[in-house]
Amino acid sequence: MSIKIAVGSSNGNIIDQHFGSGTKFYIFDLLEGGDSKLVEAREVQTDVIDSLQTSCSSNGNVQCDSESNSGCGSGCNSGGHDESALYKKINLILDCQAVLVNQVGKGAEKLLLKNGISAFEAKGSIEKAFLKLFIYYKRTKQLL
Amino acid sequence: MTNIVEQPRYYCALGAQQTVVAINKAVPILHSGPGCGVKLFRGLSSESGYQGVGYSGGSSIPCTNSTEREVVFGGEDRLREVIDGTLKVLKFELLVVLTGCTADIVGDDVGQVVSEYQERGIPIVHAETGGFKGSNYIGHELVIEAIINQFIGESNVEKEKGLVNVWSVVPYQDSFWAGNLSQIKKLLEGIGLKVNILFGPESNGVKEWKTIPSAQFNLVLSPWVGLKTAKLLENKYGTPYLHYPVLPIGGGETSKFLRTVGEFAEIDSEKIECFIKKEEKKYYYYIERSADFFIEFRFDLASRFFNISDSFYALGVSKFLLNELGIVPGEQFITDNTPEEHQELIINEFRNLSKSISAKVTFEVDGGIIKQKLREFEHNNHKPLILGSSWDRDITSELNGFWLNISLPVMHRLVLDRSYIGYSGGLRLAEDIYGNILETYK
Repeated sequence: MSIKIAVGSSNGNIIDQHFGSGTKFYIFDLLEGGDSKLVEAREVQTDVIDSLQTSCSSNGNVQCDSESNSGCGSGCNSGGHDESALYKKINLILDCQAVLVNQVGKGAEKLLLKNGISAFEAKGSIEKAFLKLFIYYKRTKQLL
Repeated sequence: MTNIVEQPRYYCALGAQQTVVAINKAVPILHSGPGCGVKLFRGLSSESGYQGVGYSGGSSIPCTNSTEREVVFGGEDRLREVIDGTLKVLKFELLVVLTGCTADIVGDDVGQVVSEYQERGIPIVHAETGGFKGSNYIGHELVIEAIINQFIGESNVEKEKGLVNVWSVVPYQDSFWAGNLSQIKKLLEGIGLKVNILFGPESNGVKEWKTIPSAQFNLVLSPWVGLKTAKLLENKYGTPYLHYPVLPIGGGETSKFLRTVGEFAEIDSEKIECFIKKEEKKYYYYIERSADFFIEFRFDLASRFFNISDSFYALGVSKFLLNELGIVPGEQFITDNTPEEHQELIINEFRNLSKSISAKVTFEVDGGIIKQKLREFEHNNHKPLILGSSWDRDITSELNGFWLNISLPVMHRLVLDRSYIGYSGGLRLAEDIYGNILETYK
């Protein structure tokens, strides 16, 4: 038994992508014994990025960067964010049970949950985060 | 066996945030889930006589608002963030980091985080006050212990004759704590002592806490809360303590109290008697003149009294009502979740409430069970006098009795500096009881 996790990362070692603005996911299998196995890297389609960035910059929203509190997934546009881009991104990682990124907006988080994907926010080493997640999954009996 | 308590009259250990708020210029920092702090503030301050936010209470309390992220990945970084923010924004003389249930279960090393700041010379301590540790009576002493061990620390200072540390009512949990502590201070100063009252507007705040090791003795003016603290101080600084379990309400008890403390502190008895004589003269003038009222009042007086409050009040009030106002005890309910090892002493005090009368005391925290017992009591068509909380208003009217709002929650009174302790405290209590009774008449 294992849990498939999509990690928002640029290099497969650290978590450094926001869900909304990120371009790359590294897919891991978190195994029963606590080890993790890299499955593959997936890139977000460029037209998805473009549409997202367009809608962000047309808003002229200065807060739309990695320091902002609200994840780009929903906080950027005043309610009317590019939903098709969001759906495409979720589709990309639909086979995963969890996504691990720096930040994810409330709207995106809800959409992910509707599709059976839990969202976790963390920063730093992927390996360290997996150690914590493993304990969490054991305690909540999701990994037996 | 159910673990639900109906109509609770105290809160969880994290309620000790209010203990910190009661110390002048001390600021609590919560490492807990969101909401705990404000709920405890509402319960212990707003619904305890509308006591207000204070210097650092209410929504000013910094909190890590831990949620799933802190549970899964740890909250230590978040705690550092909040402490850093506090250092920038708030003016304080002492920071007390309190952990809630979440942090205690998850196992964040709060001690480690706090020590990083202690090493920089910042006055900061931490206490593990996760709700499951116990009531806020327990939390109160946990916070005091942390301040003594981590802030005051070691001390070989000379003892100052006549200086006493007072460990008595619990701030905010006792709605009348500020007035009560003020009265206690005044009484002890009256017999020549210098008093570290430690909490409230008449204390010198954090500076006063630093002088705790130099006290001649500690006074635990309480049935059980504070004993742990006194024992710690005895071990750490060699300070002896006097345990006086009965809150002195009214002339008889107050004079007894002053004589006992005076003797323990080795104060010249002439000084004590002189002060007592002066106070008793004033006090008995008023008691004497109300004798007319008690004897000639033709309408119903309260037949039996029922305390539904913590051990402080249940004991102190019972002694006063029986011995000085001549009201007979019904059944007394102690609602502070008294630890078993302290119950014996309290039962004994009630057994000897007066030379000839014993009173039944029941340790019960569940309001539903208390209501049931009140219904089952043989009132014999008399009207009971119930001294309790806002919860108890309904059962009082069901039994056609008289009610005084004296224990938490106190939502039917605005409390400022009123006190029921001491000579004037007894007069105040008598006025309030009979005021409430007379108010029910047309």
